[in-house]
Amino acid sequence: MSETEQTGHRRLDRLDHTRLRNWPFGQDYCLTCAMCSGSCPVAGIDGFDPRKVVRMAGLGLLEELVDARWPWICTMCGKCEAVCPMDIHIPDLIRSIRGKRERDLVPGILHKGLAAALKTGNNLGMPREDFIYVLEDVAAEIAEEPGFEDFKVPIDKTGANLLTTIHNKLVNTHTEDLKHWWKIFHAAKEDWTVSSINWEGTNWGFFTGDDEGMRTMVGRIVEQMERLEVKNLMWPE
Amino acid sequence: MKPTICVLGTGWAAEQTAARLLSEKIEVVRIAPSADPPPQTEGADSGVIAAAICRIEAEAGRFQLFCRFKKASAVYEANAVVVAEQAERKPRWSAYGLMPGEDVLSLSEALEHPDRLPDGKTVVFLLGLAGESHPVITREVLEAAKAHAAKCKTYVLTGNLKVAGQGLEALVQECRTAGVLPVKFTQTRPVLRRTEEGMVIDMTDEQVGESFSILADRIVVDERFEPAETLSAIAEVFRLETDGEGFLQGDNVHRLPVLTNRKEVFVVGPSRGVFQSDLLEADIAYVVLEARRMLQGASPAAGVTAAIEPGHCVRCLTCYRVCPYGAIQLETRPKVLSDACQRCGICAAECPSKAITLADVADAIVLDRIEAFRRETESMQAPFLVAFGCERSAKLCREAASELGFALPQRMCFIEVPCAGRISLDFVLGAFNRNAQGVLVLSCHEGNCHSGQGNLHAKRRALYLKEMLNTIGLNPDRLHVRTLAANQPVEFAAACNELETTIHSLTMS
Repeated sequence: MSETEQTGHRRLDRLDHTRLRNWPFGQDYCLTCAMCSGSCPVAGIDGFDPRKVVRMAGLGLLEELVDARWPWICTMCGKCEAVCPMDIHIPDLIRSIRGKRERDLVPGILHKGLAAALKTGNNLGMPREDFIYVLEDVAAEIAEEPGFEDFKVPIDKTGANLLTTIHNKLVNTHTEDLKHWWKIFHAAKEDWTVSSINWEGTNWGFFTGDDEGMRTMVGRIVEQMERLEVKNLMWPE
Repeated sequence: MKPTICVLGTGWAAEQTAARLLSEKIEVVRIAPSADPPPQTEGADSGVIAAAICRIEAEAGRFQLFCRFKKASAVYEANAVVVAEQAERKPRWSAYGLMPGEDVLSLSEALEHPDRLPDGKTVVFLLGLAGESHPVITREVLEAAKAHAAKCKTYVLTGNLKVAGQGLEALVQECRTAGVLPVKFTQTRPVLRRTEEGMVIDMTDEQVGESFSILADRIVVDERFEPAETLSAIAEVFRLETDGEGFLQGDNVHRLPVLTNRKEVFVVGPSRGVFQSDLLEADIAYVVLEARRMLQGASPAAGVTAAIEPGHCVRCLTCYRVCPYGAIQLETRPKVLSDACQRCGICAAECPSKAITLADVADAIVLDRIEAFRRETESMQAPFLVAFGCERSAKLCREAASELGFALPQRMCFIEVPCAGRISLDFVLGAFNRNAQGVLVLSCHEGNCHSGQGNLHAKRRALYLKEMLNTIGLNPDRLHVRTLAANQPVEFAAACNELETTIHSLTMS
């Protein structure tokens, strides 16, 4: 070890400060005012501090940021960005850092859900027949209620006015919640439909910083709109 | 009257000042003060006289500057003087424990020889880590860092980065865009040490909380401004106030922007601690205004000035020491320069021989007024009070208080003097002698006296008087001392009424 490193400090001049500079988030303009830290609802958890993240990005501490738990503590609420006097896009910065993490190391079920969605069309990996069965079952329950006797769920209806996506939990544990929307559609005489494939409304690529996965999922919804010749989309996520 | 103005100084500030005055068709004598002057002949062609000023004399509207050359001397005359001497730039070597060398250079060196920061090197700029940095220096450091950022690994290690200057904040952003990495220190400081490999800087990034080191190929040390060496001699000859660092003008807001404690002696730019070129221009414009005023012969009404009665003066030189305006000239006996006197009356109050009078606030006049007031108000039940106050604060407060209809003590005699420094022991004791039951002394706030220390003189005398009152068996609480600003009529009324309340309670007990 040379004399320079005797203190055990890291060599700042050996860091490449430029490697995060091409990220268009303006982190280099930080004035260190700490308005972001003050506004952050999760600052302090595990030492998380948005200002630190901004500074580390400015220094070029890429690995440290990618390995840290901090970017995953952030709730993406965007208060920091709203108060930043230098208009630094902190949530975008955090999302980018998340995107740099190896996919297997993405916390929780976020990436697993996205991987299943990319492979099967929905986070649950639910087969098309099962999906149709659940929808028709719910529709049958609605039809038992007074005033809804003629209710049918219009799956894959070509030329409808409105396509609605489905959050996977609505065909899994929260099927009752489907009914509210559908009854409103019925009462309003809405001309609506649900796609039997690629119906998934959630897009966990947004949360994991996976731009490519996010683009694919969005693209699929557009495909269904084109396939069914639907003009409007209701995407209640 | 066609005034001649003497511009004192060697560099660009003096040149600009002289050029601007000449363009206004004002006669200019340029003297470059020098401790080691050349023979008189040299420099005569350029119109700049290099000389040592050894003495000045001032007579009605006219300065005589006695200059010395190597083998000769001369006297120059001017109606006013502008001090426009340069400041000196001093790298902060010792503050950082650094010695200049191949890899450690001053900001001036770095600016003059950009090649001393070769491409591909790691360059560290130190800025404002040993005392606040001046905005002029901040700008130069940032400009230099920005210029080298493309080819060098460039760091700016900074303390409080003050960006209150034209375009300075934008420059900080430009620096960052260019690739300069700033490291800001508030709680800690970087430590510099020399190793076999070169200069190493150990530090903590306070935002991240991690320790880092930089092996710096080049360290650029920031600089601070010091007054020109000749400035202290000029201050002595003209008897000018200086501030803590030795710049002229002192820390007195009443002198801003270009006035000094000496009438018709002005100070501009780097001689008063202002280094931005745009501010120098503004300073010069003020001097031009003053010159035009002189041109019109419209001297601000000076009123009555102090006068020394020769028969009473014992030449103790108290007046010479206490005069804040350099208005006492020593000849065979001290003499008041009526042009320089700003009639504060501190000398009159301090003179142990009572040899100095300021005619319109002479002892007899003031005490007669108090006596007359007492007689006129004799029938009143309210306690008889006397308030002495400064014209610059208490008088304006009283006028505002009366305009606003504030209640004031019924039987209070107001005596207003040009400066609280005029309120002598005789005034206060004289008031008590004429049966005043309470006396109020009102001066300007500390640090805000036009005459520098007039308010402190008043305070010191009042404390002494309280001891005296105690000794002679009068309750010292009968004397109140308060400070005011000109815009404090509420506080003024409160101070007056508080004295009355005190006197009431003393009478009751």
